[in-house]
Amino acid sequence: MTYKQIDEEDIKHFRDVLSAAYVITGKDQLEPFAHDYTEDLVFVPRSSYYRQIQERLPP
Amino acid sequence: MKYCNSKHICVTPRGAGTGLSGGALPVYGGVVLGLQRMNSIVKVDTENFQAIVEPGVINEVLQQTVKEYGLFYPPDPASKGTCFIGGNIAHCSGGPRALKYGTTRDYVLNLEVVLPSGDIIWTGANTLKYASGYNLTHLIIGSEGTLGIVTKIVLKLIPFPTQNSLLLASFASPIDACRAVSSIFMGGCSPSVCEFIEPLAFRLAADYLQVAFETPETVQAYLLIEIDGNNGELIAKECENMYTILTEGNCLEVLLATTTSEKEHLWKLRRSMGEASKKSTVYKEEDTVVPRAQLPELFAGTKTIAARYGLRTVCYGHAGDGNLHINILKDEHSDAYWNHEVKEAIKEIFRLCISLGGTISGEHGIGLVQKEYLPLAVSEIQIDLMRNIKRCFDPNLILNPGKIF
Ligand SMILES: Cc1cc2nc3c(=O)[nH]c(=O)nc-3n(C[C@H](O)[C@H](O)[C@H](O)COP(=O)(O)OP(=O)(O)OC[C@H]3O[C@@H](n4cnc5c(N)ncnc54)[C@H](O)[C@@H]3O)c2cc1C
Repeated sequence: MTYKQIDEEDIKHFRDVLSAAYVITGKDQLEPFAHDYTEDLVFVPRSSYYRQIQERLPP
Repeated sequence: MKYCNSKHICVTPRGAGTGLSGGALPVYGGVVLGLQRMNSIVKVDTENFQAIVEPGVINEVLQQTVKEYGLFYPPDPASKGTCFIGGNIAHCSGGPRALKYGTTRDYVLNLEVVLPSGDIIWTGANTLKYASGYNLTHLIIGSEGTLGIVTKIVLKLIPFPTQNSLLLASFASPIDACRAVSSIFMGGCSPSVCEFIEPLAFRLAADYLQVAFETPETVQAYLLIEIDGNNGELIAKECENMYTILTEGNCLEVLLATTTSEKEHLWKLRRSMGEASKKSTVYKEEDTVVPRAQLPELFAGTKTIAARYGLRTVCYGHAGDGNLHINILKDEHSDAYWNHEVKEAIKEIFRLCISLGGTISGEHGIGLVQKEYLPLAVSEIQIDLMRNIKRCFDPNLILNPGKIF
């Protein structure tokens, strides 16, 4: 399976929708997202974004 | 999601990243969708015994919050201090107390899900019963982030059991320990926890935590058993019954943790075993599960297979559920041996597990690392059905590609 590689236009779109603070693209910043607790596997994403909270009701 | 779908950009949802099957790894690059900021406990409904939460809520935070209302959210993966409820749903996570209380599946009533198309649905209703068509809630649970992104969760809660006793039983023979697991239930006991632990797992955890824990040479296996409830007398009676059963089952000694700190010490050791194994050497963790009474054959067979390949294993896990975590340690083996021979050993262990009526994962999921073994456990027809379900939800295959099959 091949997927479209993320380009600057896509990143701009994500930043417009989510705000720049929630879109991570730097290699060092992406490093924590490249692995989990499984053995020693590493896959670096092109971009990561935090899902922004749309609504918060008081507990 | 709508944008990514239209552009054919792949998206990998990510919780806390404590998964043990590589489910949150972006194997095709693209976008990682981190859910950690969706961490609000929206509501604790004390009338209906329900909680509405976002997926980034840490399991233990939810447990502590609802406890303040006298309520209990039982699923308790050993990673509960870190892992998220969203990740728990994606893997249908269990944990020690799944024995008495069931897994995540048993506590999810309704889910808000963002589909790969960007459409947002609720999968069911906030009710204890549901018979209104196919149960989409249960389809999403355990789907490992391949069908939709869980963004809100309605959970069932139960009253918090106020008392518990924790026992540590030691055995000279691991097979006797495995046999005792079934005897406990056949003897009329219903513990909330029954964990099998090899002494090496305790030693690795003690080294890792830098705490003391003696494992006498005569001891070859432990059972960590918890009995809970609201009536101290009944619990004490069940402990006595348990003691008799364990002694009749060749147990060497039964220790009762009498203080909260003793209980916490044992639990801390138990919960650190995974990380401790990982720190000690490169390892592979297999999440085998068989019907409980077949545990002795699984354990003995695993040791025989590992010995034939010259591999050291350390086993522990949720024995009451028949769920044995087998950690295969690399030790001094070469990378070539590790990368090729271990796969063969794993296949043999899985075949044994399946021949005993079990399967290749009880709670960690298939993700990336177990997918090559899935055809051992499920038929081509089943895999085809799964693929078709995937295409129904995600025709462009943009969500968490490269996982499960
Ligand atoms: C020390 C240790 C002990 C463990 N003990 C246990 C145990 O006792 N029992 C047990 O069952 N597991 C255990 N695990 C495994 C792991 O903690 C669980 O699988 C956990 O549920 C993963 O949650 P997470 O938030 O870390 O998810 P992640 O690892 O981030 O993701 C796991 C999967 O869920 C998907 N996902 C995450 N969030 C969402 C969402 N909101 N919507 C859709 N998909 C999503 C991801 O794409 C991925 O496929 C343990 C792990 C460790 C490291």
